[in-house]
Formats: sequence, structure tokens, C-alpha cells
Amino acid sequence: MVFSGSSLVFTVLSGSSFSAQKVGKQDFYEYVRDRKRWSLSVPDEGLFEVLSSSPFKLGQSEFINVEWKPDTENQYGGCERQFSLFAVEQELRLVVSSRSGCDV
Amino acid sequence: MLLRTAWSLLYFFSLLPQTAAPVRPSPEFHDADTDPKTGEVRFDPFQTVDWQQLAQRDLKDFNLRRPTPEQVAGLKKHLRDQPLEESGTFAEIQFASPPETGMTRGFYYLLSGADLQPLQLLRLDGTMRYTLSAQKTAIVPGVFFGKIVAKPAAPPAEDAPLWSSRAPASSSRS
Repeated sequence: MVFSGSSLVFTVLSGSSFSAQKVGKQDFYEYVRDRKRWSLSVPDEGLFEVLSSSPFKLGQSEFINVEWKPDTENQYGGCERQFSLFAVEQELRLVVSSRSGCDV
Repeated sequence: MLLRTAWSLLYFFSLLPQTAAPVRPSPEFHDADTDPKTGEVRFDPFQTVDWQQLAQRDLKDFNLRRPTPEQVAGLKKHLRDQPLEESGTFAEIQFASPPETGMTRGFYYLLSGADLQPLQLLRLDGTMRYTLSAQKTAIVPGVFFGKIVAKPAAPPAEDAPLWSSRAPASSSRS
């Protein structure tokens, strides 16, 4: 862990879009901002129906907080709340996902 | 206790390349749980914590080195009354410790939707899982683990995702 006395600036970003879809056994994500596109394909875990997305910057680093629709059909554990945090780097990168209110 | 997030896995994220310089803040993210009743946020430590050592110092109901017969009887009763699983083999007791010096050197924030709130570290909540000896006369400590407990300036939005982060920060809007 590296610390610094200089501050990071937290900035909410606007004018961007995040989309997701299931393609075969993969979940495909695409983030678009300022005519640039970032994409990511991961093994399908049922996280492909976007409820909301919140892009932001921490310092010079860009992230997207995504809330997924609940798994009401109980195909992926029936989770009520599902979130993912992505880092926007050279490629889109999944940092962490979290599920709660699941049946299993 | 009502906790919003079920996952207890630890996640790590660093923005820094592994080079010697220049030194820049490196945010790390962990999943976090919140208790709606207290507003407290719990997350896995970003640092290594010797929970057993903390338990030796802060566990009030059981002296790990020299447990008294009364303490052993108390934990045996607790195991009978509140076993961790149906077989009644294991039980857990909790203890609280102050945040360690190294932890307070960092900056902790709660990232919730599109909001970043500073967190104030409150304490460490530790747990000792234990069982009985084969003769059922002694307490056998198993694993020690725990969470950092912190509190944001304002409670997070009801259904917002919670990530705890450690880095200096200020906020603005583009």
C-alpha cells in the first residue's frame, strides 16, 4: 500500500453510457464516453441487465459503479441486490462484484 | 444483526504500477456491509491483523493463556446454548479492540453510488471460533478473524452499493 500527502479528487462524470448483454456464455459490457469505447467480456454470471450506472473519477482513475436488476427468476441465485465496480483503463476491468439478498 | 451485503470475500485493487516512483495515492476497494440500525459500516481490513494477539489482549470473557474454570464453564454453556451449527461442535465469541496504529494512517471512504463519504474508524470487532477438547473439559480455540468497524458522516442511501476505500480524497463534479 502506497500513501501520499496529495489528495485525490472525486469527480462525478456525465455524458457517458454503460451497456451490457449476454452473448452465449459470456456477459459483454461496453462503456462509451467522449466517443471512446471500452469493452469487456466475462463468463456469464447473470450480471447483464443494467438498472443504473454511475461513472466517476478518483484522481485520474475512472470507475463505473453499476447496479444490476434483481435476479427475480432465480437463475443465478435469486439475488435481490447486485452491484459491480469497473475500472476504466486501457481496457474495461471488473474490480469487484457484490450480491446480497440471495436464496443460496 | 441486519447486514446489507452477504459477501465476506476480500477484494483488492491498486491503481499504481509496481514502480519505485513517483508515489501516488493508491485506492483499494473492499466490499462493505452496513448495519441500518447503527449506521456502522464493516469491512475486511486492508492490513494484516493478528486477531489472535488482539484476542489475547481484549477478550474479556476468556483468558486464552490461563482460562479460569468459570470461564471454561461459561464458554461450554455458550456452546450448548448458541452453537454455530446443528452438530453443536463450534461456537463463537466476540471481542472489541481499538483500531491499530497503522490503520489510522490511512484515509477511509464509503463509496455509495455516485457519492464518496469519509469514514471514521471506530473499532475492530474480532471473533474467536472454538470447540471443546476431546475430553470435553477444555476450550480449544479454532480460528480468529474480524472486521473493521467505521461510521460515515451520514448514513448511506438505502440501496446503494457499498465499497469501502482507503485513500486521500476530495470531491467535485464534472
